[in-house]
Amino acid sequence: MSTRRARPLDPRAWIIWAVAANLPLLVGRNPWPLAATLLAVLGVWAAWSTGAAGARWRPLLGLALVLGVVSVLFNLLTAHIGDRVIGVLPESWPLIGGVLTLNALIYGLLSAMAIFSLVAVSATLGATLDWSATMRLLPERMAALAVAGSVAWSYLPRTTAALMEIREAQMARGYRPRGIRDAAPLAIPLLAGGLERAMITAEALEARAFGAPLAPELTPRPWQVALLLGGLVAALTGAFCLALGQLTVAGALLAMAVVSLVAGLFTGSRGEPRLRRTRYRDPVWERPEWIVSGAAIAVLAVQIATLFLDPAAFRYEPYPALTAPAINLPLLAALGLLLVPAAVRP
Amino acid sequence: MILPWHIIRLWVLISLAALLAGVLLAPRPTLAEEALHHAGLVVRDAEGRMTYAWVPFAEEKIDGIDLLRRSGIPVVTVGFGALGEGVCSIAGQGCGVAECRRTVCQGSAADAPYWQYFAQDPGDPAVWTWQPLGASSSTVEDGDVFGWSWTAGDPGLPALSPAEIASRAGAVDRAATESVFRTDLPDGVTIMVNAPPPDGPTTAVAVAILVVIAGAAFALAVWRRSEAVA
Repeated sequence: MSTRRARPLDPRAWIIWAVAANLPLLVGRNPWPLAATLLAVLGVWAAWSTGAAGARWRPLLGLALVLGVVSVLFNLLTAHIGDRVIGVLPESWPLIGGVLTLNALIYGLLSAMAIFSLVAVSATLGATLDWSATMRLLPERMAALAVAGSVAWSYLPRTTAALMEIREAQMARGYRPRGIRDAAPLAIPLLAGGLERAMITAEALEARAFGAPLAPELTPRPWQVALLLGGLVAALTGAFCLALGQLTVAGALLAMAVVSLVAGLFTGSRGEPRLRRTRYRDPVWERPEWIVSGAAIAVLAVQIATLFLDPAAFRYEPYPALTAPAINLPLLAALGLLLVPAAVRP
Repeated sequence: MILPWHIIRLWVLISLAALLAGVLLAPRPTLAEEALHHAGLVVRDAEGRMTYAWVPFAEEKIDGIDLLRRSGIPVVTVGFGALGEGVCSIAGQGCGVAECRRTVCQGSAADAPYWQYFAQDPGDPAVWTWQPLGASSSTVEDGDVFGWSWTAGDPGLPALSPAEIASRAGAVDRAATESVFRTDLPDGVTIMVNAPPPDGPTTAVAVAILVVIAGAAFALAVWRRSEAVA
């Protein structure tokens, strides 16, 4: 047996995989691609979520289950549409009054499956990404954004770890939780600890000159800032249009975003000196990274081709009548490739 | 005074049981034959199919969404709270619920069609007036005729009197006690059919693919976890 210590996969391979895994969850509610994606993502999560990082992100999956149940109930009680009536609430009840249908229940379950899968992709990224390596991937001009994003992303695992520590400490003092009214001894120290951690993080950032004004020659020009902002807005709007299935608009916006961001990030300032970033350890991109990113790009190519040629393969509406969803076998087979990260061992 | 927890739980359980019993045992409203009112409905889809409906109702007045639902024509609507209901699809024409919640099926182009709601002028059946407040805000009374058209502008609805609409809908007379509707197809246009469901072998292969993915996911997870323990 090999004794070589496993290293994390390069963040770029994980990000490409996450994009491929998120696309079928965002563009429709067809149960076949949803189920294939969920199974593959759970396989990758189970394979990579060993150790403390996995334990920190596991509560997020529990939260996603709760959100899923809420989604099912919300859809059942508010969507009074469909041909399979399973109950009736008095019409006089605001919002929830009317017929309850199996159609609404099934659509709620599909939405819950999509929400859970999206959260599982995020939890997998959270447990596996090498965050410092990810931050270093971002261009220099986005350093402030990268730090803010890193602090935001670490909020949940740090809060979860703090909650566990507080719970253990309180139980050592004889605290026994029996219901929701016993949450106060946990919530108050958690809030106080959160504020304290926020202060410590702020002091650490301040000590490293985060947010300090740059030298005049390093300050981005107003047009560069405008290009950056425009590029980010175009990228977000393009992603939203892609999720809505408006492919032409999405393609145009994403192309515009790439041009704006490249122009905003990589144009120099008339040859003046720029920030120099040094590395202690260069990122590793070897065969496992090629395999994972290649498989994810293949899945993305099949998905985009299917979106143009057979959009019904992603979409499903159980309204007004419950019908069988469309099946696209090449798409389902391609989604199986999302399991590849579980099979590689860097 | 704080109530003990088990009393609250018991109270919640009793309330839920009473609610469930009320829902299951609530009597269904029935139409009183002697006091029925009637209204007509005309629906025109993108390819010119005309659906005529004649709808009886016991109340003095109902709203346009009730009229559409009671007609028996397959319809999908979504609720927008106090703004009322938005119509997503009628007789298979329209858009899905998710898109309907975002745009009420109206595309971004100026000439993008969507389900528009019109009221027939009682004095001149050729005049159809667009109803900007939508069907939830409209009042339907005895003898009224309303129209739905999948259009960007011109309603394209016919100049028919209520009696003619009742006749085209298939009502024996204007005092019908059950809702009736019928669709007239223009030349060269067929009825709208849903895509056929996947056949047995395709479904079997799809299930097999999911089983393979699930099996592979389980095997890989077990392998990686045992490796991590080792």
